[in-house]
Amino acid sequence: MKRLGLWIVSLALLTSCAQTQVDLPAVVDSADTRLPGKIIWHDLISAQPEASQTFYQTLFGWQFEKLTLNTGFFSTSRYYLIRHNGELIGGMVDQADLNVKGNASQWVPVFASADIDQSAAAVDANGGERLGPIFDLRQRGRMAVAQDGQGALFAMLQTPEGDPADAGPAAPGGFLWNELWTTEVPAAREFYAAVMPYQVEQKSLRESVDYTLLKAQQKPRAGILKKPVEGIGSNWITYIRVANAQSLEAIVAQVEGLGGRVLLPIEAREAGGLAALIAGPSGAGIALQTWPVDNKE
Amino acid sequence: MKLIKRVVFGTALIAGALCLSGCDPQVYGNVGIQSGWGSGPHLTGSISVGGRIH
Repeated sequence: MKRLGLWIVSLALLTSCAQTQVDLPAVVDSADTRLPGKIIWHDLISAQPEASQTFYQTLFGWQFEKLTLNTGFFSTSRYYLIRHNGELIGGMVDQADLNVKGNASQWVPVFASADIDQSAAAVDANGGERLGPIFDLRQRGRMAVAQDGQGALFAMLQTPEGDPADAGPAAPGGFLWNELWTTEVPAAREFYAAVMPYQVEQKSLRESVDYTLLKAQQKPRAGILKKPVEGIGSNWITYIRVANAQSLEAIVAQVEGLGGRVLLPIEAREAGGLAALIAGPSGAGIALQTWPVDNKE
Repeated sequence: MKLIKRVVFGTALIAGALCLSGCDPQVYGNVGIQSGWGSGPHLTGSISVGGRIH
């Protein structure tokens, strides 16, 4: 009888463990169209979530909402929802809740997938590496985390019902663009075109610089560029829209006072407008770009 | 047969005990993410060729 009781307790524990899933809010309230290849979410992995919160709140007016997620009977992890002008735009993960060594702080772009099992298999088949299984995040959908062949981190998400519809460019302080800085442009081009339903379009900004546009649903979704800097590996770079030169200067001037760093100072872009690369207090890099480019800088 | 039962029972108990202290977190869970920037690299180069172009 005693043994039977232990069996029941053990099975109950195992069952409850199997059912412990993270339930994250959906990326959009309602949607009925899938837009595979579109970047629909951004997560910041931060080793210093409190300082990161202050940093982005001050610079861009973002609002953070802390969620406590049950991951076991006696364990929880934290996840922060990020809103801009009241709209959900991304999330922040406390690195302390991940099993990582060193500082893994970085922004992770999340690509919409119409079929996450197929997308994950395409990563495996085309030289990428999946980091863990496909996670079921319930309301948010099923997500896989992966690296491309050059080590750039990204995630893919199959939402339950559809992806956020296309709208115009985000307001200043919102996400404007995503771009892969890679050591191997041809390999990266092939990889992402195999994993997502992209049409690849090459642009020449000048004789020595090729810029690859990844298009889906006839819209530019992301760019690929030979890594233009030394000191980091291949990385996805997220750009935040800044209204104009004056705003950009004002933002960059505050970065170090908030515990961040200016990685690349303000520069004129080949294609017009201005850009800079900064890092938040945790070390995660993010780019700033004035938009639209026909502003008188 | 008795040995198999004991092994299965023991495994279930250990797995159950591990669950009490927390299953694998499932948002960017146990996936071995490495630093992209974290050590604070000193960068040289230019961002002038990057950014949205359309």
